[in-house]
Amino acid sequence: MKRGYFFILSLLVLGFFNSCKQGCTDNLAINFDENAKKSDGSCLYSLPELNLKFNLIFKGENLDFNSFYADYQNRDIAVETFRFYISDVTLIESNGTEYVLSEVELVDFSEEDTLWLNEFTFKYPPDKNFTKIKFGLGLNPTLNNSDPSVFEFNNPLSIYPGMYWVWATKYIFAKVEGKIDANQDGTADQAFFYHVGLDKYYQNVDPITINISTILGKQDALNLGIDVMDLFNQPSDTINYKIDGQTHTDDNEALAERFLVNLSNSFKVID
Amino acid sequence: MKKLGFLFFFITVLSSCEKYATERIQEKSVSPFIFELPAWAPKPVIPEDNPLTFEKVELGKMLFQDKILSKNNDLSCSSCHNKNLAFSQNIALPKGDENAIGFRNSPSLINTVYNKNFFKDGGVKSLELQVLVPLETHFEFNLSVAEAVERLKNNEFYNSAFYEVFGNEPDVFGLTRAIAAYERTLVDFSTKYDKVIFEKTADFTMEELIGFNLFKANCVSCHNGINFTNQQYYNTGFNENISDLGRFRITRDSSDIGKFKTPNLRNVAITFPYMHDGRINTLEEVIEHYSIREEVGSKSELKPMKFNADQKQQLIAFLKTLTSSKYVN
Repeated sequence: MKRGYFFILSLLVLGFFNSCKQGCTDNLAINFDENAKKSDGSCLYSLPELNLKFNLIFKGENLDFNSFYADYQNRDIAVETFRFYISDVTLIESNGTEYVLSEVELVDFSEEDTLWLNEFTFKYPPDKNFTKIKFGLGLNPTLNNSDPSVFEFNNPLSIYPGMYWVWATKYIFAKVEGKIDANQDGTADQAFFYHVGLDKYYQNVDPITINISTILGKQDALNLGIDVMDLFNQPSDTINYKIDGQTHTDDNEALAERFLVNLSNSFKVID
Repeated sequence: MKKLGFLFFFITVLSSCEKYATERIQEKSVSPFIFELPAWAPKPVIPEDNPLTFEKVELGKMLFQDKILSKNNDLSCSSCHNKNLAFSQNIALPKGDENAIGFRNSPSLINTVYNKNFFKDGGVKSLELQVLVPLETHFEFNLSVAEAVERLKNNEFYNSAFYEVFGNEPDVFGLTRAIAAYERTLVDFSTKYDKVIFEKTADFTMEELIGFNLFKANCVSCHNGINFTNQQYYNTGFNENISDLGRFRITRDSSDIGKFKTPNLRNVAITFPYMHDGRINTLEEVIEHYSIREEVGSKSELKPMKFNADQKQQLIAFLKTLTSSKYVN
């Protein structure tokens, strides 16, 4: 009988302590304890993160590689390669303070099994209110002067992404390739390619307005879109890829510059 | 307390968040390579990230001669840089993958260690990066670096050799360092010119001496220094009606159109044909070009030198003294 009382008493004591269990009660903390009823100040937080994703779209819809889409002149085009460097990716607070997220990234939309992606995750400090993001399109002159052979294979500046002109020891800032089906008969009849670079055509993308308040343990997402039709049809310059559709930069420098300027003006925040 | 915990975490994360692997400088082989140079020869400058070791030079030599680095396993560096021709080639333009024709004549590699940059337009800034050019160029080896490295990884000998030299499996760092290291050792100062001028153990013939004086009077503003090149770029009047824009390709400065780097003249008598595209077959024709080159309608920066027949032969006699004793018949 005494044993029975003792057992019941133990259960009551355990229940009491469990109902008052202290621990980290903040579900944003990395050591969040779902059983804890009362905070004991032990919460540990990871830094807030930003998931920056670049999206390739066509007239507002997601674009699939190698699929034909009708442009504004009733021609079909398909994109096969779309890859570019961004450098000095920087967030700007409302008071103008800048926070550099990354020195360099290679944005690659291809669906092949490559090491390079169109999505990046950065950690950044908490309790900030970032109102703009800015970055360079291409590589600043210092990065452009790098020796690709000293970088490991997974580094965007390595030789492996195929973004380096070995004969000039300079990087290709952007590589966009595709094909045109001018009469929409289902057969591509022309290729377009833009392999563009050179220090003097490095573009500072105009700061893009955002609204992100950073909180410990919280992850935010920022989606930037490039609409292929906007890229070729900027208010300041329309590039007709049927006529002005091919440049390695050294063989058509003017077109290379136009392409980079248009691309730098094509980034938009999307939902 | 919470803030302190966070601060520690914050600092730890930020200080360790190097996202990508950084530059790598590593060596395993330890036997220094010693240049056998005469005391008067300039000391080669060796890059810090590629110290010369005996093992690395040997590995580089094997890679230089191995056809494994070409797409169809039928070309090596030595295909166009023949050891018996002072590491040059006696055809105007080299043949690459599937007999594709290159667009510039293959230069001699002798004393290339003294070059500031590489190729006739100076577009490549190190011997290490130079290695990548024939590898990836479609009309040369036509092989991606990634595939070249995979081939070496899958080759038992090279896999082992790279571990021996660099302490890791084959990669682009080791590939470029090894071949560049070997190329830096292709140094030679055994010409008659060296014996006459620096070692005082031989004399020019009268014809050679007159040619030397003509050379000093007319050619040394460009062909000077230990390798007879100031490593600058000039349009010497060979650029009409061709597509190779020379130095302009690199600088994009219109004043550089048609300019090419002053070539090294060591072994010039055996490294024919001449000029950036091998368009001139003999030294006689080269000197004739500089002798009669008219300024009218030409972009040449040179004035016609108007050598007479005797002077041409005297200049040639002098230029033949620049041939290494290894190649003198």
